[in-house]
Amino acid sequence: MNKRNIDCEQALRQIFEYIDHELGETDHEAMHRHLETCKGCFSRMEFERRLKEKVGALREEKPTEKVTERIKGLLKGF
Amino acid sequence: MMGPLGDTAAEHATRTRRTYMEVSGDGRLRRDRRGGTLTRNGGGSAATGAARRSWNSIKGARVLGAGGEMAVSRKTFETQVLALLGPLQGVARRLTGNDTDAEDLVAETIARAWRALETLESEAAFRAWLFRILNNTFISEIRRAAARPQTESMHEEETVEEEAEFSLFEQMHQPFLLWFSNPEQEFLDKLLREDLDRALMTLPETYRIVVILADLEEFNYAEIARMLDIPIGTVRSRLARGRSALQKLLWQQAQERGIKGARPAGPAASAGSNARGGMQDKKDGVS
Repeated sequence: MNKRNIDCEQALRQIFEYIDHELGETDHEAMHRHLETCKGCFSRMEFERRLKEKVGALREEKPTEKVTERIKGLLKGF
Repeated sequence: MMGPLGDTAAEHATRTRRTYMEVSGDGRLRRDRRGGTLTRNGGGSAATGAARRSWNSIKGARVLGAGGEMAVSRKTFETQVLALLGPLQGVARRLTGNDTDAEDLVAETIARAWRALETLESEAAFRAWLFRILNNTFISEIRRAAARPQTESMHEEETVEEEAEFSLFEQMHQPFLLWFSNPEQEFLDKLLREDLDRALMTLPETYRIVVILADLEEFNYAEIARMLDIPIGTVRSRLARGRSALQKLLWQQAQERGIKGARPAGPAASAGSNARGGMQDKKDGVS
């Protein structure tokens, strides 16, 4: 496998794709290696990952009763 | 209910459309997202994804004809719809900005979905299919009803472009600021749900929908591209810009609310806009 190394600038460009698991295998591993040795980029990645988690926690799990009743009524009519 | 696209889901979703398939093969890995990105998703998982993609491409070429049958029964349709009602309503509310329009949007989406049931490829694809219909319904019905100009999103994209580089992390590591502890930890710890919600709702619609689909609903880039009928590169750039704009809004909110540590330490703070160079120095100084 190509053991390509990346610098901080490249790593910063790929941070979102890394935390989203959208990098290809080679890029993911290069990023992984960089983050293992670069404290600055690791901190940045961790920040972005935690912020993404916070945003993700806004997800609604439960519908309101009103909409549930309305949709149940709608489904009966199909 | 979180992450309904499991192993089987990813495989099923690949049956009819190869472009969709290639990334959704990695979908299962993404569902493991909470924590441990660096340690838990190393080369091993990526290799597994590649192997699965390879297998799926063989399978995808072979399994095609559903023969016009419905992918799910009426009962399954009802069960799936009711199970997804909360997230559907949540996304609808964030798209429309109010509860009444959101309810109408959900109802119209489900009615359309029922009428278009033959377009559902498999049960595993149900969630992505339903959210795609939600988005299309929003665009065609709600936006038209509100008589909003169709070109608005294009302008939004252009105006936010220059702000794409904004980073909260870098902002907090400017050498001009004084911190008493780890600044980004402190910021995240104090970040309120309401602040995040408000910032998200303030985002231009073009970016808001991509951030919602990626970060709240955890769809992958290929799924979002397909849902919004845009290239995958556009998903990538809109997500980056959306997150950047979100961070800028959070930063502004923090300053307005006077969150400890988010205020400039002195007049010099406003002078520094490019903190990238000072990041390492400050980081070492703080920790």
